[in-house]
Amino acid sequence: MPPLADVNETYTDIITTVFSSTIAAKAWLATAALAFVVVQLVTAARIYGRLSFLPERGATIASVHRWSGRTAFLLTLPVFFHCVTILGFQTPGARVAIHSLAGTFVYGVFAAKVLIVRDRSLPGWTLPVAGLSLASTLVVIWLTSSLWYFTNVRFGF
Amino acid sequence: MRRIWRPVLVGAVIALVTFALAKAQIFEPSAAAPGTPVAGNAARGEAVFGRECATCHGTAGEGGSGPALQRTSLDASFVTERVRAGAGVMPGGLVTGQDEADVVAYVVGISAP
Repeated sequence: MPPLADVNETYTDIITTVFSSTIAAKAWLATAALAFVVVQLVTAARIYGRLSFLPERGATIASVHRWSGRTAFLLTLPVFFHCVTILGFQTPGARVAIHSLAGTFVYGVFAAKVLIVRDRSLPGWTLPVAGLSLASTLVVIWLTSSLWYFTNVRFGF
Repeated sequence: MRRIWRPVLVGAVIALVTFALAKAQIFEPSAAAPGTPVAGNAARGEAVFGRECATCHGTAGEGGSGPALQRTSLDASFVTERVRAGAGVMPGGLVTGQDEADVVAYVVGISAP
């Protein structure tokens, strides 16, 4: 077996110690990431003065926002690895094509958002636009993969 | 205003690199060599098939939203390659390892003329 194929086999062996298949693993990891994206959206809204029923703006909300983002990012790494290096960019149908396209852009949008967060000289509208773009991209990815898997293949680990 | 192009450009470059990596499929599952013997257990494969494949291919491979598999004369290497790489709307890697071998054994069995 060629060395590059070993990577796929090793990855599959590791993943299937927990999940029934690599696809099931991706569906659940993406779902967990999406849950943290919801936390991101809620805490971002609070930071911008919305959702006043939540605790007062401050260090706690900001900390939850940062750590939920970092956790969501980490959860997407195995998904990214499997999708990009093993399955690749495919366009056999609308669902897979949309998924491939959104997946291609997601880390680019993520990098842009992180750079915008750190650049305080940019106009105020850029950060919410970047954040919402990132969240929307992840939602599209989830709808065209995890939701499809749960409704068309099976809802299980 | 010019600074806004910096994150956009960085994002675009990362998207391009991602696209190039995805097109390269550097760890693409290797196709099974022609004539690879079926090492799976077809009886166990039937259960795995019912769990992972029947929604599209039908309970006994008679077809549904996915193509029929019964009496289609498929060989093990072809089925293995399709399971690993996917085809059409079917994603690759739905079953792996022993499950893959078992499903391949089952599908080869039901595809016999």
